[in-house]
Amino acid sequence: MFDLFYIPEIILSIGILLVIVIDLYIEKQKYFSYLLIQFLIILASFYALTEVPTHAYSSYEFSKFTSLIKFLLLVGALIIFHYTYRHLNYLNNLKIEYFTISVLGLIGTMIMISAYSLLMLYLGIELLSLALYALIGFNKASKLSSEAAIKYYILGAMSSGILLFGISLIYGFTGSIDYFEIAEQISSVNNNSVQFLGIIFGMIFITASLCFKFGAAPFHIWVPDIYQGSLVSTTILLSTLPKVAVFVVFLKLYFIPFITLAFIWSDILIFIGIASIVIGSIFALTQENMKRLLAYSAISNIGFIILAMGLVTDDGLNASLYYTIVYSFTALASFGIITHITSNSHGIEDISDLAGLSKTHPYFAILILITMLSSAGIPPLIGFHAKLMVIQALINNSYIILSVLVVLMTVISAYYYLRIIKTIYFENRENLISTYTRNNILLSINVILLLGLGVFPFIMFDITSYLASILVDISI
Amino acid sequence: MLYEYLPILIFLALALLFATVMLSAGFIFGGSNPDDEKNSPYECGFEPFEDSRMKFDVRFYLVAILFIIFDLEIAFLFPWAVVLDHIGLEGYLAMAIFIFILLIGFIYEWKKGALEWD
Amino acid sequence: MTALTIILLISPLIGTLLLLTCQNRSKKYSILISNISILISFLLSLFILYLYYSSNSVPQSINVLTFADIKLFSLYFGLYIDSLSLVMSSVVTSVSLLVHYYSISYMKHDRSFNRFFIYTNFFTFSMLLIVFSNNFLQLFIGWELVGLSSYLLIGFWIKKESAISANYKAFLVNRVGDVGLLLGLCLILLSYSTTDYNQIFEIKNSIDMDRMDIFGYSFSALSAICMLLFIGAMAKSAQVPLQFWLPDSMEGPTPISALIHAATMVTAGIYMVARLSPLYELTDGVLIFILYIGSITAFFLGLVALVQNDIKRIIAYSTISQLGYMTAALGASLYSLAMFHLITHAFFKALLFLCAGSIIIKCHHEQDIRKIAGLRKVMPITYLAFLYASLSLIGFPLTSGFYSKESIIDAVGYFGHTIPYLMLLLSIFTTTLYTSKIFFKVFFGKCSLPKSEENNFKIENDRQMLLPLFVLTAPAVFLGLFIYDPLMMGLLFQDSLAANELTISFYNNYVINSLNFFLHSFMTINFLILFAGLIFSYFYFYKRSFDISIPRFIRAVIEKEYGFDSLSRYFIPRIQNNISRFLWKDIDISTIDNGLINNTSNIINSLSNKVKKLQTGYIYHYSLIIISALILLLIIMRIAH
Repeated sequence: MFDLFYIPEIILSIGILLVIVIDLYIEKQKYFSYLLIQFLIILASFYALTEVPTHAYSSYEFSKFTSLIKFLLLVGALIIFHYTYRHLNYLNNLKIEYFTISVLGLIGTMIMISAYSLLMLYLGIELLSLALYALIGFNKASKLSSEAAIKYYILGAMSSGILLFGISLIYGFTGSIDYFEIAEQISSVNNNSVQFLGIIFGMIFITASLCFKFGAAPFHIWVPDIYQGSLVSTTILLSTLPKVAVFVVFLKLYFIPFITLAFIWSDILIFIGIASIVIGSIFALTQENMKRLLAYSAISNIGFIILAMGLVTDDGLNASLYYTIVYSFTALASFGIITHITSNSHGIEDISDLAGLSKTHPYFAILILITMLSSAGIPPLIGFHAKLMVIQALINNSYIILSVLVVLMTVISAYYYLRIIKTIYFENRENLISTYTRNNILLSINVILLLGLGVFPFIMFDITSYLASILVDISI
Repeated sequence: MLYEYLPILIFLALALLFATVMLSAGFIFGGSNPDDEKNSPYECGFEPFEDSRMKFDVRFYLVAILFIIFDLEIAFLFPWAVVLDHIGLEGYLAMAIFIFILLIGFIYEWKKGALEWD
Repeated sequence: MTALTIILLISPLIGTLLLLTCQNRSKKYSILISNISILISFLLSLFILYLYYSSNSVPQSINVLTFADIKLFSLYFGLYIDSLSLVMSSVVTSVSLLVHYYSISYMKHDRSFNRFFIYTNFFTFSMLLIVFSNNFLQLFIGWELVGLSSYLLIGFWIKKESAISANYKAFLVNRVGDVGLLLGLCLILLSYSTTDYNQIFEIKNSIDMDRMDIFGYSFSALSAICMLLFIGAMAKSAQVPLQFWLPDSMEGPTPISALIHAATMVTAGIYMVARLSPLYELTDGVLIFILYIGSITAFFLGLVALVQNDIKRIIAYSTISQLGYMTAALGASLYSLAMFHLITHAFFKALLFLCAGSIIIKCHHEQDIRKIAGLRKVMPITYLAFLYASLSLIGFPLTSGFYSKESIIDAVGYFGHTIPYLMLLLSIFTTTLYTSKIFFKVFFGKCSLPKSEENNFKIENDRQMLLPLFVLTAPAVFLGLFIYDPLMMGLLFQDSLAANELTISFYNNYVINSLNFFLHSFMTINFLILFAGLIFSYFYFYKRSFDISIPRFIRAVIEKEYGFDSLSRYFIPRIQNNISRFLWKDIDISTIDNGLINNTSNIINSLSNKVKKLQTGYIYHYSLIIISALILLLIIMRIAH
């Protein structure tokens, strides 16, 4: 019973409740509360790595894989909070509630990862979504922020409805919400029966809802508005933690309960992946707003992940894992840099706000340069290897035309990444660019890793193939 | 198996049918002679002062939301109280945790001044 | 020895790089750096050559540095150290050193003094890269670099229009040869999967008759390779029909002409064929082709020299003619004789050019021999040097030129190649004529210089220009005598060249020894022709005792270089201009730039602008899209299954 207290979710839940209360009484010392939260996360990440409960729970799963992913999420959250605190402080908008809500969302992602039944999954997704609604609307002064929050809330509610409908269909036709039992049921169902059709319908509803959460086309429609409306710090959170969690949910759902339906969902995922890549690349082309542009870039990156997953092969799985980690890393860096910069005494909104950065802040200019080149997939940066792996997997599975299309889209997307670089380095405009710090070690490490891991890609290959191997462990 | 749902389908179809028939019958047979007076909201004999869609103070919503949260708590507590004999200590602890979380919410709203009108 | 060779090779390159860095400094730096870097190479060449012979070393092929190793082949920097490459590098560096030294004075008033030395140093390096390469890729790289540096040097005076068109022509003609070389290289890769000389020499015995089928034609791969490589050599070594760039290359500074003609460029083709002699030895057809090309070049281009009046152009045609001798020797499998003539020719031709440079400077850049006369008294040193070089060129007994040239002619005759033999014989006459033409016109008669300069004996020219003349006279006249016997006995080039036994048998049965060859020569038809030529030119050019009118038609044909001149001047540029214009305007700008590239980006951009409007910002639109996407997924699923 007491070993439950060592799992990171519980640590975070209890801790965050305490922090809420403590913060009420020491309202002036926000930094202390902030440190407390960071300490909580460090503690949780420590236990995420060391303690793996041996108890078996019917709807909750602990394994090396989930622990590792949780650890990654916690470290990511640590970095994001580090950026966020200074960003909010700089914008005079610092409230500890922002962090407590984020931690609640973080708990939601962890529940999603560990969920082993559809209802637990729903619980995690809702916890995450509720936190995100609040975070998106956090910037009350901004009309866009409130609009984004309302939009996300309504569309999110709709997608939750779709998810629940899918779950009820699955439950209705298999009689279970447990992943393992669903898998058993599905494998015994006749391919032409009504029951089979119902299960597939349920699966597609769930897929649609998850794609909404993932931000994959054609369910991507909310992404740019919400990214644009919310604070940059919220955008980092939105573009990293939920994506990783939803990715793991995808993996677990498709490779455990729905594995026997692979011949159906593989086509659907490939369609969604290609659609995301194409839409992400083409829509981004003429965007002027930095956050919208990065939102579309996120959509196209998600497309790569889903596409690789849709191949249902080992190399596809590896590539999608690799791409997810690389993508989160790059998003962390690119949004992280933007949190540091203000232009004309507001946060970075348009690309043109960055013009002249190379003259005033060469350090940040170089960071953006490296990050954008990595996103564009230019060797030897790590983004190149990620794209290469996906395209290689495509070719290995003889999707030649698709791989050509993907490469073309990569070229198109390279244009808008390079446009940012062009703005920074070659355009002269009198922007009053300021940053609250000359440099940030964490950010530097983040960006240097983009380069370093790109030069020595085998480090990441090893990590992802290890992850893939332990993922297979639990799914059997 | 799917045949069990046949009555529901019939019910849905009938409901749809009735609704359309009623609405369209009214639309077709009922007369319609709109003029300005008819279209204006009824305000007891005099001209309306302002738009009938008036703004509410956001605090009404706040109070309503807080009310719903604590009202729902009761909805959980009733069934729990009925079966408390059967679920034992574990059930008791689970509800205790639930109430504890709500309590923290309560402290938070109190401390933040959400319960004060001004 | 390897390390020393690397230093030898790298030294001019380092010189180039250093020169690049101090381009804006004073001339002293340039002089010092360029001359010292070449001097190092030269001394090392001699030293390594000495080491090589004294230690009885065997040929070595060393891979120094591998750049890339892919399945098909590997790209590496290697050295082939044997007697052939070492002798060649000694010749190259010695001539290059003297030319460098000479240029200090020749170029001293030039504004781009420093640039000149950058190019010459690089030129020397490129040539050494060819000389020491042990694989075809390195050969090709060196080949291209030589082409590049020659391009830069011929057009050195960038404001002179004729110079620009000349270097353009040189570059283009060399490109034709490069295509041949490149195709040969590809074919080598295709049939041998390696670019290493030694490996190919080893393999070739087993599959030398390997047939290839291209477009239904079946032919021997080796012959095709040798043929293609020889096309490259034809362009570099100015053989018919790719010879017409060489006379135009006279637009560059005179020291460069000396460098190109004597050491660094035109010899590359001859050297390559000699280096690959084990391959060529197996392809009889190609060898006969080479033999005929060589003798045709030797005879017909010698004729062209007769009707020229520009001193440098005459010498240029003489170079083509002499290269024809070398090529003919290659074609007759007399590789060591070709190399021998290459060496002696390098010295006497360098001497001739440096003399010409001296004359040109003295006459204030006047190159027309009709306007130059009577310089014998004014320039005694140049006069003597020119006399010796000319004697060597016409093959007067006992001079270097005599030993190399007469041996080629006699050997070609000895092995029964009748038609080439006759052509080569006749060119002795033409050689004698055009050489004496310059000699008599320039040095005899009434002095063309103004009176004030005529009597100024003390300053013939700068000492820096005269010293190389002295130095070069020795090898130009006597080198042949010294190395003739070891060369003919196959001792000089040992096993570096194939078919040594031919030369040796010729030596044993015909020459016996150098002294005998000398004595014997007075009784041959060669000497008769030579003598006749001398007598004829004495009376015709010097005494002017009679006048011959050549039929106008023949004169015109010869003057027009058998049509090559107009071909190169009018037809090829016009065709090429049209093709280029088509490629530029229609293909590149209209189709590729505007049609494909700009249109694509425009289309995608406007597409992006249009679809952007789908993002309306209304929640009900968004929910509609999401619901329709869901339905779309369901439809896809139904259609797919």
